[in-house]
Amino acid sequence: MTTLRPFRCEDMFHFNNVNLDPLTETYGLSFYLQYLAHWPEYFQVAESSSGVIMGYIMGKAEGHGENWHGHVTALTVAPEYRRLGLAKQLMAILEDISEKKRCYFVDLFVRVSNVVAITMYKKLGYIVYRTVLQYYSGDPDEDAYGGWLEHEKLLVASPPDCSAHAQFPPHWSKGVLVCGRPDWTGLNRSRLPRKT
Amino acid sequence: MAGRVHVDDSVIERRLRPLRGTNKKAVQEADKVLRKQPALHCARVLKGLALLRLGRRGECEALVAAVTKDAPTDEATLQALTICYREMHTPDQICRVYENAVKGEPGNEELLSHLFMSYVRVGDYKNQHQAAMKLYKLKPKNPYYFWAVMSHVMQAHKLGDAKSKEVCLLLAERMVNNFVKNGKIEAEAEVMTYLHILETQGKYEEALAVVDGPLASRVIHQPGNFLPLRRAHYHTRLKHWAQAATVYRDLITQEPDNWQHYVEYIRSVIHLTTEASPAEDPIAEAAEFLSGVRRKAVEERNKDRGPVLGLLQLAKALQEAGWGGRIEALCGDPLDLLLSYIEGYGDKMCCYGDLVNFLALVPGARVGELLGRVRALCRLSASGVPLDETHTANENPAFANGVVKTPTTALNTGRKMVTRISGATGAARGVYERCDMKHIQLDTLGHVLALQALDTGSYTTAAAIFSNTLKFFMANYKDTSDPLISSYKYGSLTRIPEFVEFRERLSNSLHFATVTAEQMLLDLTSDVSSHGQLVEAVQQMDIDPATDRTDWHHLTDNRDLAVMNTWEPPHRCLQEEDIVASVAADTALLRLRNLTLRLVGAACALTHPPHHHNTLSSTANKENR
Ligand SMILES: CC(C)(COP(=O)(O)OP(=O)(O)OC[C@H]1O[C@@H](n2cnc3c(N)ncnc32)[C@H](O)[C@@H]1OP(=O)(O)O)[C@@H](O)C(=O)NCCC(=O)NCCS
Repeated sequence: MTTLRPFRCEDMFHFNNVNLDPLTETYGLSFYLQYLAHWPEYFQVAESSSGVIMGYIMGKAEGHGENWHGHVTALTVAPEYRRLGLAKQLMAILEDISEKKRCYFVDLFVRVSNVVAITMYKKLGYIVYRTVLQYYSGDPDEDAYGGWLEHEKLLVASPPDCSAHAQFPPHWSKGVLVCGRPDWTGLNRSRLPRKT
Repeated sequence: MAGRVHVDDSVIERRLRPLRGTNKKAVQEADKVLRKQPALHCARVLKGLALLRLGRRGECEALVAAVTKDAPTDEATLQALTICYREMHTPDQICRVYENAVKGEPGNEELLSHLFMSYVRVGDYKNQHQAAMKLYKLKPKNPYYFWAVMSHVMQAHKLGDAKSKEVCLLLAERMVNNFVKNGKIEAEAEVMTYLHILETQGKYEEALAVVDGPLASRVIHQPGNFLPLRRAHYHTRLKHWAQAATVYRDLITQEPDNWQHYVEYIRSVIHLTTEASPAEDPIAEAAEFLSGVRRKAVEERNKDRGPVLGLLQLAKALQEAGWGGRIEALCGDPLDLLLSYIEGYGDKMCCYGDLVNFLALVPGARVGELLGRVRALCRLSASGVPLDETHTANENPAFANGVVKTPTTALNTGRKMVTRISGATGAARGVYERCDMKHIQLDTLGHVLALQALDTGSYTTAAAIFSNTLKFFMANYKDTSDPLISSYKYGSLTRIPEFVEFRERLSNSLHFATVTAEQMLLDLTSDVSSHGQLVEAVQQMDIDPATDRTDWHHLTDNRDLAVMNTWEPPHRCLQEEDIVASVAADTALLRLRNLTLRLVGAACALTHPPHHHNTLSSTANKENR
């Protein structure tokens, strides 16, 4: 039995049975909290009836103009609860929210060696449209945003027909293009305190 | 998304070297600039920052204090000062810097919003409110107004007594009501804040009116079930069982695998039954509905487990309500229900967890029957070994062997096994390192190997773990401050109380307090070899023999004790009493360790007059409280 609900800070105190999996990275606190602050609705968790965390998804909306899209930052399901369709349900929530935000597509990065995940994304209708050499190219000491081994090939997947901007899947709305969190109007962003 | 492999100290040292060089160079460059323009604020602060990073805190303090006094207003200097004070762990100084700057340029929106954020960093909600209102007067933008609203909410959160809490929340509510009346509400964030304020006050009628009214149309980016779930929750709180049941029923139809809907639906139906008139039978209706959901799922042959378990949950609720006699007629034979689930999911790990709560529905006399029927579902070899389609009995051991040797499986199990290793610290450390435990795991899983290493005399292991652990806790304040600021910027206002609670739970961690004490004792026993060194060490640690600063009433047990599945019978599982007893024992040990430290401190004070010296760790600790 699975309850799907928004992720809360306190979930971090007991998400180890998910995170001890070698393909799942544990990030610094600020990483999770920044996602909760920027894109709270994109961070959802699957919980069992006894309160065990079964898996979670983290994502965001980003990009400018026609590149405005949903992005899957992390998707993971504890080994005990795999092949029950949880990842599929979590992806469905992310896609639904992306649609509400009028995103044009959803993309994600996955390691070429992660065959299971690639199989799954293909099954969910995603296509591999680019292979990048190095996804993570920031400061190697910035642990929070790292996690990817450098120099490893990565695939970028997204729903079919998204690679060419001209062809969006018909069900993705193509209304007004909005950048930034469209519901939070009225602020002149340039005047806000910069992150120090 | 694999973790980075463990980086050894020599690598860190190599990385830091050029940085030290850079700081030295920065001081030289700053001096060059200052020779030409001695009054240039920004250069003076940057020089201070470089000095600080070189460990020359005293010189840095003098430099930045002088600049702060001149009340600079240019962005570059202000930013440099902000970084400097943050690195010195004195965020309250940042407030002073911006207070002075705003005095100089009262009409500057950017400076004011920086001032607001500086109050956010230190949790000064009263001043936060004032800064937000000044901003709103300057530029009437909704977010500024809601920053002020949220400041009231946080003030309420902070205050201890119920009366003042109530007043603050009322003030917040009144501010929002004002806005609603004048039709000024624009964004989802504002509606969410409104709901949060009403919920915190228990005003569910009012909250219901919001989700049923025009403001609900502003909520557009939440998951599809957000509004119905709120509505159902408010109905439940108001004991409107019939309405609650209707909403949950619709939710089950839309999301047949989301378990919370079943639990709440059945709970409302049970409540409703006690109030229903003799003509209606809500339970029978519910049973019919749940049977229908189940039939549909079976026909569609999908993977949803909720529909298969719904009737079992109803049976369990009936039994708990004392209506066990109706189970058979309404839900069918629980044994059949259990078996039909096992047929579908018996080969999955979730099977046990899903069913364990329903096993009590099987009377003792029928346990044998259940086991016999489960056995009949498995194909067994002549010797009783389970078979499956892919492997014959002879292949099974080879397959199992292969699985265990697969690196992933081995690592995964190894990671969890570390919790079971005791005594063999060397081996445990190896596994521990491969687990790549870090960040919050240093708190939640720190109990598996930190003090154990000390107890077995593995001081280097202990010191390494302690140092990582303390680094994590010291950074908590900064790590949670930036997201707090982001919440104000991006409008996730309702997350703010959650972030603050999270921060408090971390800084009150029993493990944090324990490791702090143990680290000090370890330093005193391993690094000190003369009386002079002892006196110096004790001074650096800022031990106050007269008082213990531990907030004993708020210490939290953050251990994650459910990492491994257990199939033990209930009496052999970890019980609540065991956990309580272990926390009590750990707390008692901490008292003893703190007392020991204070005794050492007192002994030193008898030979040398106390001389207060603020070390980085002691100030960071205060900041974390
Ligand atoms: C990838 C992962 C998230 C899948 O989670 P899951 O809940 O088991 O996936 P689902 O049950 O929703 O699978 C949906 C579909 O994907 C495919 N799939 C998933 N796992 C598969 C596997 N091991 N082998 C083959 N196909 C698989 C199947 O087609 C499946 O549908 P089906 O079971 O009806 O045939 C999970 O294996 C995981 O957490 N891995 C480690 C972390 C990771 O790699 N994350 C992805 C990085 S972006």
